[in-house]
Amino acid sequence: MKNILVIGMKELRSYFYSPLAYVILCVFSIISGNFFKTIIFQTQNSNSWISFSGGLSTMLMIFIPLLTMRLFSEENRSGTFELLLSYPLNSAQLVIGKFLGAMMFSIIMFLPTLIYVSFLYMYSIPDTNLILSSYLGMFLLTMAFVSVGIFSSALTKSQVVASITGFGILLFMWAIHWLKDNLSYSLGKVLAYISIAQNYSYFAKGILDTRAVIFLLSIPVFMLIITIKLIEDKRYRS
Amino acid sequence: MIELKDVTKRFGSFTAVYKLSLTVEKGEILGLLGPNGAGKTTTMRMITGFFPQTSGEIFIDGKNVFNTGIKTREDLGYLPESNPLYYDMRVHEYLEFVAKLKNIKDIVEKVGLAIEKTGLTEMRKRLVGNLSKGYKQRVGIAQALINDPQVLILDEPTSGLDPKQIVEIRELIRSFAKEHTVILSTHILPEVNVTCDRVAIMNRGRLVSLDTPENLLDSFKKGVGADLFVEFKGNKKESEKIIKRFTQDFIYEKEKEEHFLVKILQTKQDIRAELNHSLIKAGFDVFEIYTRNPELEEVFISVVSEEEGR
Repeated sequence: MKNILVIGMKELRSYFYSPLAYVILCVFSIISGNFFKTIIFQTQNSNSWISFSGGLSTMLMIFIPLLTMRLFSEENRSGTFELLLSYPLNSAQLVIGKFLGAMMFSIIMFLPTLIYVSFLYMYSIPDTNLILSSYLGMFLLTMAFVSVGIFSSALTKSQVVASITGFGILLFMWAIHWLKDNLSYSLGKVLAYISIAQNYSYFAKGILDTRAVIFLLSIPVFMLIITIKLIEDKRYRS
Repeated sequence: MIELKDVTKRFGSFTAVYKLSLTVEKGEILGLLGPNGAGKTTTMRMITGFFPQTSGEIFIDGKNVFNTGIKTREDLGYLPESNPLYYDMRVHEYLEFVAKLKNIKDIVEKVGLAIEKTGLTEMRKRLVGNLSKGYKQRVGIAQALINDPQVLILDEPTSGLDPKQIVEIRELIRSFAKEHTVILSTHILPEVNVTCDRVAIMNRGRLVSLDTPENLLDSFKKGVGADLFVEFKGNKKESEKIIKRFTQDFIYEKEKEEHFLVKILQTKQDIRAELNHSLIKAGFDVFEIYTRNPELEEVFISVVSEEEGR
């Protein structure tokens, strides 16, 4: 547990050593602010928040792979991975620690959106449950996306390849239900069940469906386990 | 302390290390010597548990490295060949990070000690990435010995250092070795002579020879002999006649009027006294007679090329 925290804190700090973190924080705030402004002026009803949180979740798909691309690919490229493995630390602690670091940064990235929430409370009476459930949804979504990003980062030495792979996997998992029109009804239904977008849409609408919670939680669990296996496999095979 | 038993490592069809067996005692510094691709780094990586051997067994302090995993690594310090570091951290931050991962209790004290020992005091607040190569190397060494490990594995510890730093680091390693076990690899042959208690010469993944530097030199001298240099003044033809009584293998290295420096190749017996006697008797002015002992370099080259000839 201590090792996980040490790795997590180190990763969180590392974000702020490089300009990438500031650029991401800045751009995320500007785009989400613009979203908020546009949506609020257009709709001005309870749908406003649904559209806004929907926009945020789509942005995550682009931003999270940028955050996670460095985590393992940079260790692989610079050779620090070899040194890390000579410390009393196992692969699971390493992977979970990095996951924790990226999660902490993602939460920091989300903090400015609370300003918009406070605006809503200042000038209207928003549906608190809707806001809470959409935040829970985005949190689960972030966990899933970060884990996918870490997995794709462990695949390669190149940050660019890692981010594109991560984005590709996410887009596929996000929008797999788009295929359903071309398929039989039952197969299309299966695809809708395993689509991240479909599962997330319940949270955005304020519905707490245990199926969706479990589905979204299963992604990081599964992804982190295969990342640990991937790292160990790379060692044993090399 | 460290024991390798018939260790073989294959990467696909390529055999990097073949049936390597060696033991390193506590308090000993073992130098791993070999040309590029001899399997030195692979051997070290197996000892640190970076990857497992294909067959054979490795023990540290009687414990199997790969089975015990994390436990053996608590008492290990490792400096990889490329000296990988996190360039975006400050020196003391980085060392604190390593200290935490190595489960050190008194972090502030140990980090301070490591910084002091490696001469990084003035650099402690600098970014690792902005340090010169020599200082980066020191940071690498500092992280390896921060936990006061029983076993220290150093892959080319003095590469990139200036001569003064090399001497300092050597002394550091020597002082450290007294109660610990050190394996280091190097390309620099005099370093082995100065630093190491024993030398293991590897070539193409095999252990070619394992002995103290002195013994290696002695046995080489016995086998090949040493070069003898004679400096004298007199008639050239006359001198040739005299030297030919002792050996046929000699060359005139320097000739200046009647002043000569002759190199007699690889004499196995000591002929200095007799040669001196004969030259003086024939009226030569003898200035100097000396043997030049073979250097470790020659031993190394001969051992390695002998292997290759097979």
